[in-house]
Amino acid sequence: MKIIFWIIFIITGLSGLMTVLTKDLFRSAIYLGITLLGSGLLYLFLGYDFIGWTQILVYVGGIVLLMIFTIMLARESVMRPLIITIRNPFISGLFALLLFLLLMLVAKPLILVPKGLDKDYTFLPSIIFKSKYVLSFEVLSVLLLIAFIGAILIARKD
Amino acid sequence: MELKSLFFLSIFLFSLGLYGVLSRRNAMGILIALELIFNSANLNFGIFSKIHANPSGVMTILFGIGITAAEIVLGFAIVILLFRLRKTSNADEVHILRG
Repeated sequence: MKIIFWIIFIITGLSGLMTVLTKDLFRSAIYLGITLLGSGLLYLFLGYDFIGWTQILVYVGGIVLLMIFTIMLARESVMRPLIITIRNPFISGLFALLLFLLLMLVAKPLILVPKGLDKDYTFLPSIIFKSKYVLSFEVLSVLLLIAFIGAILIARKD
Repeated sequence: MELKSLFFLSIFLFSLGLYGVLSRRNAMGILIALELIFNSANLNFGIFSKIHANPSGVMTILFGIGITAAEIVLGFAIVILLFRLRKTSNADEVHILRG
């Protein structure tokens, strides 16, 4: 089990790296899908079954598919892959590296130990529908509906 | 130990996302890099929800996933519209909104 965790961990990190380093946008979206799939599987190792599968379903099944469709629609030629240019790689790399080192400096001395008993979140839907989160969940669904209608209106050819 | 390494992974993904947002010129590339940042934030919520044994963090992940979906859908609709109007999807070459 430990070995599987580390394999998924390393694959997630490496594909995250490839997401920003590759110049072909299509491959970048595929690597992003692998990263999101890996993080969804890591949620399973934390014990969040519902969140993990939701992540895989929504992100990998929905959002990455949408990205791939958009990338295939918005390019000049069908045969040519969409190669993108990179602006100021050294300055932005320096900024990202500085932020990484700063956050690692802060995170290094932290002791992260689960407090108390581990709760079981397998039945998270029952937590949602029995608790104070019901109204915010409804508002979220209305927000999604509005966003989808707005996206159709924006992208429609008229 | 696993929690700490996951925390480091989320920091790593956040820095990568920052690099992508700063260095990409294409609007779709920026949105893809933005996804990495949201994903690392969600991972952090999960880790700290585990540490404090509090289900609010898990609920925040759920809401974060939904809001990210809405944001990405709108962003890509704008990219498609932009491509139809300007035949480009570079974020630099868009001066329509400049006053």
